[in-house]
Amino acid sequence: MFREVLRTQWKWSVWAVIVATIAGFALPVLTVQDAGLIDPDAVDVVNMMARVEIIGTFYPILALGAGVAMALLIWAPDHRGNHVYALSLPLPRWHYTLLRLAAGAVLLVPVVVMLWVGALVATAASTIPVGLHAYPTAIAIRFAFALLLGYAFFFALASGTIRTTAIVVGIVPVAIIVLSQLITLVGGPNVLDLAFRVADLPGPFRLLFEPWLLINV
Amino acid sequence: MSSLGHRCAVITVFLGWAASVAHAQTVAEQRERIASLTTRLRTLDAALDSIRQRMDTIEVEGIRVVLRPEARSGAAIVVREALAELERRLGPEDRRLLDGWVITRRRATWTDPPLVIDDIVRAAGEEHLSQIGGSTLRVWADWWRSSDEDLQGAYLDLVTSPMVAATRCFEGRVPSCMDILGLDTVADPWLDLFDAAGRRVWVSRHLRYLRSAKAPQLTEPGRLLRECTDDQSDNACLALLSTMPLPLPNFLSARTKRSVVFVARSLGGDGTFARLVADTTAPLADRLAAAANAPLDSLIHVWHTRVLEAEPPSTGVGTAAAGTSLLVIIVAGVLSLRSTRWRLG
Repeated sequence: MFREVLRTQWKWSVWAVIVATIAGFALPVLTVQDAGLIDPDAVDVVNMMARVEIIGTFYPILALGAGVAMALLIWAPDHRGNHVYALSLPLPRWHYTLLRLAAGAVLLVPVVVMLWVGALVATAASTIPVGLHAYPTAIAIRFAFALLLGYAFFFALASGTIRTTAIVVGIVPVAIIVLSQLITLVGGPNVLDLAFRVADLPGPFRLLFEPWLLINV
Repeated sequence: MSSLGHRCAVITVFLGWAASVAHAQTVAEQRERIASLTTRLRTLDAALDSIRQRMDTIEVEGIRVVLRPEARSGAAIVVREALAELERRLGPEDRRLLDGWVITRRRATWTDPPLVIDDIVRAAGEEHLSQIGGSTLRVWADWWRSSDEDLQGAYLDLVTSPMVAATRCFEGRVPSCMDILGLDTVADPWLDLFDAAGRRVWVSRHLRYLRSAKAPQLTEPGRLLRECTDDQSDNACLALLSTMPLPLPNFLSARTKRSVVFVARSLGGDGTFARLVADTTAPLADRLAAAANAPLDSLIHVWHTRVLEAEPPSTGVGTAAAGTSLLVIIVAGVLSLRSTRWRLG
């Protein structure tokens, strides 16, 4: 049964997986190329690190993008067919959902693997200044966590209804911003500031928003 | 006297005067003089512009603003706000260093006050630098570009520098920090600040510079370079480096130098810049100590502590982040399994 679910999900998400896999491989290569680490002459380390950090912002974007795309793509046919196919199967709901969840996670493995390979190739091909080190495996592990976070969160949302997903994705952030502005206007605490402080605590937000440095001290 | 003879006489007198003035001044004095002349020239230029283009001039708290007449009404309020912002950032005493400054906004708009304030604060930073003149102090005192991010730049500088003295400084030896910052006299930088491996790294990082026309007196740079980088001959590296033309490229980035003044400001508070520029003949080390209102070794010690605190964040996933992320992933998975979507009736 798992193989069948995997095969159908592969059909639905093949292009997203291919694009994300290529991007995963290219991102570390672009990082070292843009930072001038391939055949450097005079190394301005501070400038180089700034460029590594700028390119690094694309790692969580790719991770979240791939995770969200996979979650939405694998539930879309069920929503379109009003879940008739799923209901016709001799499976309880939880079992069917678990198969979908696992198959989606398996399909995301090549993205992580190719990012890791890309990071290994890129760092092997570059001349890293004395005192700095390459972290291809650490960044690949972090990427896997970020990918799974985005995937699991949006999988849970998409397993409900499209309306629920739209509400959470569209309305909730806007409501938080508006509410925070209103609270600030009446002299209350700055909610956004509070949100940033929460994001700074060790946890999923910090994993996403702290700088992604392929090359670091 | 013929016209040619008259011109020759004038040129001779001028050259004689210029030579006598040049001999009477040190390089530092000449720099100060050039800086002062530049400021005067700008003031005159602004005054001429105001005549030529029918510009108007207003004076706000000791600062003259050259602007279009139609902008006059609202400009004073914006300039006052900008000066308040400057005073907040610099302190009243350091703000007074700008007295007599001329702000020229010929074509610039005044309709977006926050943008104008930002412009004026940036221009004030440049004005401060121009007052300091062409001296090496400019790099240190660039407060407009200075921020706590410079401390992270200093951290990177220290850990990636090929200087063995930088490693010692990173480990907490204050005299080494003073050496690499150029605050103490070093007899031979190549011997005192570097070890053999460091010299080799420095040479390999500056190949383009060494091959460039900036080092024309290197008779056999190609052979020495090969022996230094490929054969790892320290004698070749030393021979190459000892013939390097002056001035040498900076051993540390401008960010690192700015970060010292950034820390000095946090110690010295208002008046840091006034004290920094007060005695133009004093050595840089004394001026920095005066600016910080603390002995130099205390300033460098605090700077070192702040630099270590600015270590860049780790690339990997910490245990806490990994644990909470896993928890979120599991909770999301369990929630999706328990969805009520298929519940009938």
